[in-house]
Amino acid sequence: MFEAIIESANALSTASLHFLHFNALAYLVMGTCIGLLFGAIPGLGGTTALALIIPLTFGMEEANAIMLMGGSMAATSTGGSVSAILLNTPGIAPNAATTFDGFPLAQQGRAGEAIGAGATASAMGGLIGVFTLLAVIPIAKAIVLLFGPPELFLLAIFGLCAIGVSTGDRVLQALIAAVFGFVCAFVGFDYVSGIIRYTYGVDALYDGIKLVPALIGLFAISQMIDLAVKGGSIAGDTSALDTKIQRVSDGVKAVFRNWTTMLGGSAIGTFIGAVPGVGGTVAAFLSYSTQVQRDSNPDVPYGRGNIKGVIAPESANNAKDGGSLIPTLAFGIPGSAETAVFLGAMILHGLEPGPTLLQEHTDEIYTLILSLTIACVVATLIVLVLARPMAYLTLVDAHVLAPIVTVVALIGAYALNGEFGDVVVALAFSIIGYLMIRFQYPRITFTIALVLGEVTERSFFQAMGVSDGSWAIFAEGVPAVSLIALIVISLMIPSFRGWLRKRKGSEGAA
Amino acid sequence: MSGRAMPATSLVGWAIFAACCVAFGFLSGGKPSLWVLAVPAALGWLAVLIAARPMVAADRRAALNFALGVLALMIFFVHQTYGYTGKVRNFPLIVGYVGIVFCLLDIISLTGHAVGGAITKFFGSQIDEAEAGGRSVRREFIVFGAMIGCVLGIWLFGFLVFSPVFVIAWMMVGGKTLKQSVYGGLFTLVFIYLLFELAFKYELFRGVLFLWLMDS
Repeated sequence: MFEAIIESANALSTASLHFLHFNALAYLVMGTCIGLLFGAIPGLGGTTALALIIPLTFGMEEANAIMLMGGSMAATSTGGSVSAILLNTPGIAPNAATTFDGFPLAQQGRAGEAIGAGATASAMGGLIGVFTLLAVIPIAKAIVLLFGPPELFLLAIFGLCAIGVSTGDRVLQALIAAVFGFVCAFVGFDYVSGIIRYTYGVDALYDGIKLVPALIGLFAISQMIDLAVKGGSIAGDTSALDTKIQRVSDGVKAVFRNWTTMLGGSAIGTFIGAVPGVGGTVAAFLSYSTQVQRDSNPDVPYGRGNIKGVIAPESANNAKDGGSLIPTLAFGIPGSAETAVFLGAMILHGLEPGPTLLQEHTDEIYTLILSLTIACVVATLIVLVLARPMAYLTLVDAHVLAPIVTVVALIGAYALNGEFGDVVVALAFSIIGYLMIRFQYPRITFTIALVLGEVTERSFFQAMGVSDGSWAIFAEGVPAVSLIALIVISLMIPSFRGWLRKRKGSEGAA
Repeated sequence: MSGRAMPATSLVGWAIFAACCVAFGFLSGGKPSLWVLAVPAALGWLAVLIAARPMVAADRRAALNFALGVLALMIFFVHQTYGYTGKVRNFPLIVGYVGIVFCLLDIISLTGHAVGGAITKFFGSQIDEAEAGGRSVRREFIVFGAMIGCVLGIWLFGFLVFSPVFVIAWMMVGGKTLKQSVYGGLFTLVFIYLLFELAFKYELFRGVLFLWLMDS
């Protein structure tokens, strides 16, 4: 363990050298600005931002690419808080809880205070999440060594089940989406047997369905199709934009005055983020409701402009970024749609998900951690200075936004290999993605299965090879049995949730 | 609606489906011919269609059609997987069969039958009606058409020529003035040229017409 800590400290110091270059810092700031922009505009979000950023990273050094993407990931929810507070329209889903007290504060003419508190809480939460990740990595490195092919296979299945369950009331559809993701992952050259499958003579499919065009179609273009089909402008009530943004420093001070709220929110965010699939929305709402329950005698009632009602969810939804990277980096199981796309980008740069990532690419991992750390601070500074112009961005009409983003996304798909076939793949996946949005089949499990398909099949094949075809290998040893138990438990959660809801309902009626 | 009796057509449909499953299982042993396997596969899918349609309320027909589409895809996938031999098909077959079971559960959960209600309770497959509504099918086809047209236009004329045209056309159809639309188009052209061609040194696709002109 001591060796692992020393090794981590060395990797951290090597990674910090990247930040001495002007180019690297420029990429980080650029990523942060993109993240803020996409976070502030409702309907876009961090996943769309990452899907569009990936093509820009093709020719970059790994470290620069990671800084660009890390900056974007860290800044999205900070950007989302601005539209939540000023327009009562959360930029991304996790900011929804911020509207409860953020918008009433803006209506009372205290928008600056709310934005100051939201941005500072986001930064503090983000930093706590990242430092937790930093502390956990040496331990995680030791744990992943216990995982062989059967455990890795079960872990992938558990990740998909857990994420499927976290989609709320659409578990069955999430599992179908995962199966469909696996089906797509089987297309092309099979590394286990060395033969080409399911290509039907189409040369472009010999290397499989290319991840980047598929992700661009699935997240960026499909979202534009959805915006275009729904039509209209993105933001709802814009009257609060007339509110003066002043006394931002009061909000900053409020976070430190209510440090227990900020710490509590950050702890909830980090923990929830580490559970695959649960995500920032649950973290923010759980943090908000915990705060409301804990504060039984508030000065200002919650929902009417209590500053703690902004601090609690904002610290949680940024802290989850660090937490969600724990399963992503340690086991290759993404904690959210955003980290699933990020994982796809890492594969593109030769960083394969799974235990080898922690063993062989510590430099890149610590670069990411430092990027997230710096981006948290940079994003907060930008928001504190540029809150009002950012809020005006939300007024952009869908008819302007959709065609421009679509064209840029299609160019991104083409730029990967300079093959027009990739544009067609992006188009096909955009329609698939839209149909998944339309019929409520979660795209996250599809993406994770598409990303992990090859690793999962290889682990299955290796496990069966080691055991001479015996299925018993999947139930040997404590890790494997624990994972099977977790899979069963996760699949039981929806019915337990239904039972709980029914019981609450009958208690309420009584 | 939960607990409603099953119509006779549905009963017959499910019986045919069960028979097709048995036939498929029997025929898939050893080294099956894909042509022979296609018969119970296609018949089985048709049987589910016949069985499920009368049991599903009119407002859920679109969801049913989509679920039937996914089922068709899974059946086709399993059928095609039998074209491979040995270890190549092991994992895909497991995935395919699991997929078919999930799709059937999804279809049954859409019906008003008690079993559908039980599946919804166990797995959770509630549709968020607010999210499902508010979309016009006509508008969806127009947007799909626009996207396909965009890719076709880029293929013919290239990114630099067609991207601004697409943006201008979209904005004008969306009710923007000609001036606003032209500004939007010009902004797009300048943005993609500066970012991709100049900054990142990508040579964007020039279009088959341009390439044909250069050749001739």
